[in-house]
Amino acid sequence: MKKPRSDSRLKNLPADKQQSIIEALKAGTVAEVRDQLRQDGVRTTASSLSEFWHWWHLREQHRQNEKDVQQMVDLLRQEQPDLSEERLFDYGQQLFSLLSIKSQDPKVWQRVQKLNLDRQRMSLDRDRFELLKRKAEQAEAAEREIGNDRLSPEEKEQRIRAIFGLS
Amino acid sequence: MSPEQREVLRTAILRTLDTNQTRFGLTVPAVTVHLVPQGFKVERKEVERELDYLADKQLAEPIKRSLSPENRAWRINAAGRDWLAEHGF
Repeated sequence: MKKPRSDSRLKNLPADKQQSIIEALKAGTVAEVRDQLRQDGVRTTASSLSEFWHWWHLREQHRQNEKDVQQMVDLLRQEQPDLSEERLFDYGQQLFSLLSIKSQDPKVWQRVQKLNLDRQRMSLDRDRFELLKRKAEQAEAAEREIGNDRLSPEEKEQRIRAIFGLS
Repeated sequence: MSPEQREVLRTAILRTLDTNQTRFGLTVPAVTVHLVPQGFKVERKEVERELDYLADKQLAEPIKRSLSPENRAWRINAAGRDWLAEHGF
């Protein structure tokens, strides 16, 4: 099994410890929080704290949405006692989904940026995504040239080199 | 989309599902919206296809009591959480 990443460790901390980390991030700098965690025996990085911040807030938002939905379902159950539990659950599920979409708040990410957290890892993921996409397109183009019977071997080589930026 | 790109997207979907620890699931539109801040602007059909794949791999599952197929809601399961941990997420 691979070694768990440091934000994975943060997600597995007790709820009260997670809450205290979030409070610390609100009050202090990332470096301060990271250093404090290190003193407590939790080694982490700014990037992992950024991930954890996002994960924790989204999880809390889902929990709050569930509570709101439950109140609405309870109210509906009182008003329409003939509705089956299955129908009530379906109603709750639809409402939960709508709330989830509407509560997707970009401010959470703005806050992350304000905290000046290291988002290098995510950036690398995106770069990797784009690089792989570009390579796939190049491979497809090269394959087309290879299969072009109207070209001489020299012409094919020239075109393939151009596709990969080698000419 | 190359196999590597799909793997990155699937991981992001699993991580999105992992934020939801309620009894409800996340629908395809909800998952799609939550992928945007993570840098993924993909079509809903693409997300739905990958959710089906993750279900085939038994890493995620549609909640049993759901409405019509287009309103299916999804949850990560224990195997999905284990997969994230094993892959360092």
